[in-house]
Amino acid sequence: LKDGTPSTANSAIFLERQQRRSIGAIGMVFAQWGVMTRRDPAASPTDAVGSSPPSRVISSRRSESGDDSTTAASQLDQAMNRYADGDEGAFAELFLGLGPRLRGFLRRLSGSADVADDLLQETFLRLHAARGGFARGRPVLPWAYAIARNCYVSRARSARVRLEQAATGEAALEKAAGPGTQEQEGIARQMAEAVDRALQGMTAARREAFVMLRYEGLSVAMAAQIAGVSEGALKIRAFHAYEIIRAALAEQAAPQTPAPENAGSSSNDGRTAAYGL
Amino acid sequence: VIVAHFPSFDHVPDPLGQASQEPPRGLPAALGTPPPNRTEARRRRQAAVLLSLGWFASHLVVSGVRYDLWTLTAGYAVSQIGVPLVLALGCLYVALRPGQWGLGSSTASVVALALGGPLSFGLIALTSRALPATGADAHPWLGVLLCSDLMLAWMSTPLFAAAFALRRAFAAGAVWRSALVGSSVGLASAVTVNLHCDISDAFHLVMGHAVPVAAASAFAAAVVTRWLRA
Repeated sequence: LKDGTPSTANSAIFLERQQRRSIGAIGMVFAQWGVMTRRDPAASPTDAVGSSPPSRVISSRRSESGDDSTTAASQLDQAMNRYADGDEGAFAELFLGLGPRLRGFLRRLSGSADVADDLLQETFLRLHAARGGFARGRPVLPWAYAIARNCYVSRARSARVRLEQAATGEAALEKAAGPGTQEQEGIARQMAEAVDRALQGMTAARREAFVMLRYEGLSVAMAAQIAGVSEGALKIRAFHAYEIIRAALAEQAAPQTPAPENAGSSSNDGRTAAYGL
Repeated sequence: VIVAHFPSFDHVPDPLGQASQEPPRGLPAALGTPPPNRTEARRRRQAAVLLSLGWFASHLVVSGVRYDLWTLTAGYAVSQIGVPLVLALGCLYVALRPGQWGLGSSTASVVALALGGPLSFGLIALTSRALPATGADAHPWLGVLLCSDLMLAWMSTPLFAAAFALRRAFAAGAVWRSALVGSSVGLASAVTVNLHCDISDAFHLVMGHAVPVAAASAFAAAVVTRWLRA
């Protein structure tokens, strides 16, 4: 899992570990999955399904329209209900619907695309094994987030990973360039990098609280339930994370703005001066 | 102040942006041996409950019911048999309740009951008065150890059954919900031992009956949760 190691190699390590644990046939399924992706990395998810493609393709992007996202969520809930009742074919639908979102969540938590890919595999492995415990009529997304978080926490708690992080540091994230001029893109990239550094530098509890609220768009009550803490505790964690990010953004913006006339005013061009903080 | 005036974070940029929306690699070609589906999981839970009840009942039958069962005062019967029975059922209900999002009851209620269940049983035992028929116990620690051993032995099979039937059942709050399951098993064991043991002084009830309940809860939170976490 060191920096620069190809993600397929990470997957192979993970899969070998799963096989050693003798999880059973599902471990072999994921092993086949790894072999398949190594053989043809460019293969589309639908191609990899083989003879059992999903009955409905759910958009992997969060829709701009509230109705569309509600419909997609409802379809995922129904798919999970069918899967919990024993319909094996619903797994592909769940994977397509939940995969991108969980992967983004795990990437934000771990700070590494390779680690996120490994954790995503483990998340779906656990989701598969725990399907009998999924409550009928409940939304699948919080449940899946909770399982993904468990995977991340398990990894973060291992002493090996702590040593690894201390020795090498986490890999830098890929930055998404938004539309605009080169100068705007550069500023946006620098701001994003500052946020990224701040996120990776804070405690896991604060990071997950902020990620769930800000980037995953979960409600405070739902995020608190997923994290297994009270709403007040989660708010405090998120607030502390926000303070760290605010300081990082202010530090980033300071050299780019002229010296303020008023010494008491903030130098972060108003983005973080809001809310009276 | 933070909780009351919680800010919005919308102005914080997203380092990943569209990169976080990339689809993951591949899909499993096929699913292997299927894990238990919902129907089978429900059957396992019912079997675990029946096994546990049968386990407690059989040991009670073999060990014998206390000789003064039918002469117990109403207050003693309620505090030592009725209350732990209700607490055991309540703990199990709250632990298994799916809640609004399928992640269980609210964290506050789960924590409150996980701590309050064994604690309230201990406090009730601490404040209970010995029955008039109870004579002075020449070897109090012997009775304490005997009842503790009995309770711990009686709890083992139900805890094992719970670990099997509820495997990967708790996606969130697994530690506290596992503690609730342990409390439920411990309190059910306390009901059984109170139907068997005729020693009624507070020291024995606390050390011999209530402490093992707390031990069961702690054991479930520390160990059984490894199986119950999804």
